[in-house]
Amino acid sequence: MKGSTEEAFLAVFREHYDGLFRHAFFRVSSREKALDLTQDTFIKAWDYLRGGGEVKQFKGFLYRIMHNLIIDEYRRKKAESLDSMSDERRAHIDADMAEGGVWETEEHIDEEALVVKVREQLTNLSPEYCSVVTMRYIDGFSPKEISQMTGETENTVSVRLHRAIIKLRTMLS
Amino acid sequence: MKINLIDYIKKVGDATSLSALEQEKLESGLTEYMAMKPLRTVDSAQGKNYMEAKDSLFPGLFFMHSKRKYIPIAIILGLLLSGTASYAAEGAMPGDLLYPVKVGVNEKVVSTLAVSAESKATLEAKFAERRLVEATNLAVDNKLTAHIRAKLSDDFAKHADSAVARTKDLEKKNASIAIGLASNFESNLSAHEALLVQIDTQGDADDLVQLIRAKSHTIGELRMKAESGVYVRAHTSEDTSASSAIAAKNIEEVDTKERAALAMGGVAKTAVKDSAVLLARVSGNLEASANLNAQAQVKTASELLVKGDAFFEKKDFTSAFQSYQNALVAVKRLSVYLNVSKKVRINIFHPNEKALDDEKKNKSVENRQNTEGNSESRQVEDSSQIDIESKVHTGSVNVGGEGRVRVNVGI
Repeated sequence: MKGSTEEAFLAVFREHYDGLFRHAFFRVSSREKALDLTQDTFIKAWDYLRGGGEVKQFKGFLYRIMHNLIIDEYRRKKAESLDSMSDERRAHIDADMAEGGVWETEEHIDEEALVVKVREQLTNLSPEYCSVVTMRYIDGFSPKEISQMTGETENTVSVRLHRAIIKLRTMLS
Repeated sequence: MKINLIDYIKKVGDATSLSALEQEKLESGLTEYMAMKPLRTVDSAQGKNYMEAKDSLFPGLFFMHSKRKYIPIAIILGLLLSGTASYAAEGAMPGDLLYPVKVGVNEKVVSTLAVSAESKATLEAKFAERRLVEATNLAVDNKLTAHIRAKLSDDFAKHADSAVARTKDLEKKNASIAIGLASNFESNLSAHEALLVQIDTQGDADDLVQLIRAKSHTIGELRMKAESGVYVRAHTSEDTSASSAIAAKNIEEVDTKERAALAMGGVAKTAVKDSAVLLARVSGNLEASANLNAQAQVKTASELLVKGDAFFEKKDFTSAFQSYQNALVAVKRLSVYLNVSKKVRINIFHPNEKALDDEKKNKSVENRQNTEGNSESRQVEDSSQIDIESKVHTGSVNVGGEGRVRVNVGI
């Protein structure tokens, strides 16, 4: 029979598993790997509790674990990733040009096709850009919360978000 | 038509979700893991903390530690009901009462945690390796009977074949990861083969050694086949801007050998780091000379990495790969040896077939000489001696179902 702590942990699982999976999916572009990472996140969280750790705010805690697991995953796949320098360069140039997230698209393109198109290009963003966009607009974290999770300054996060949106817009155009 | 991109990013998020089946599988895997590793409990009546781990005060473990062979069925049931049987079972060897729990329960639970094709393949390779660790520990104690050896060989072969089959399937989806898995498994098998050859001085486990070698060859062939299919298109452009000190490269096409060397380097560096951590953890249980020798081994592996980096810089990717691979296998062997729980006297060679064959030939020559009353120290190229006496039983292999594997790409 499960104790109250176990039940509470499972309640946390049910509340956050979907969001965590979504986050992982957009950052690693693989459903299977995202499932693995989601499970690993909860296992690590459980091991932390078993070790006597206390968690004040589960959402941030779980996303921090997930973020670190994804960083490990990126390191593992370093040989496969494209060099992001040129992305940064182009974003820097783009930042001088148009502004905001307004995207000019073809007329009469239907809703579903638009969502598919955005999803495809989202996963093609560099890891840094994909990470902030996912955390901000899919997970719903504020720039301040993102900076706490990633260790970057709030300013860096905001600038990166701005460039990421411009980059995404460029890719979609 | 102007569209708010941020709205569509949110819609993309909303449209991505786990299916009911996936959610159920995740939850059931997590629940089983929680049952296998429950939270610590406090006995308020006695004011003690009971650790639900292998050094627990539970009576079942007491019986195990007192080396009694018989554990009352009531205790076993009690352990099973409380969820602590899994810990007690992790150290079980073939012939122990809790060994069926280790294999039939613990490993099954961990299997449910493996979701992706990659993690399943990794897990099968780890299970195969666990059988070899068990065989080695029993061989050290001269308890590797023909019957147990046959059973372990069968189980090892079953898991090794499953690992090969899953890796083959994975190769179709992601060749790099498949190559990594194959290379890692191959290195582990090579390390276990070398260890068993040295421990089994009577040649009783020759059939198991041959089996390990055969599986190692199979996985090696799979790796080489997968490598021949790996290709990433890239082109290199040069930034001719006068103000640029470093050319910006958009890499679209990478030679297979360069990619292989790069990935093997990454894996070897992680393995060397992990080996250093493992040594730091067990060094307190080693004799001073063994400690020094083990540290020297890690240092040698580190030097091989530096050599590999130098070759890589010169674009000699074949030599770079070889250096990295030698470093990887050297620390894999060290890790395998450090995990063996009993006193063994071993040699650690640079990994190649010739060295292993020479070792076998030397062993048979040594046996003949010993029989004739002569003693002669073996001269072995590039070897170091290690005496390891572990005071703590650490015979178990971590099978955490992490589903994480390092990418090895071979030439």
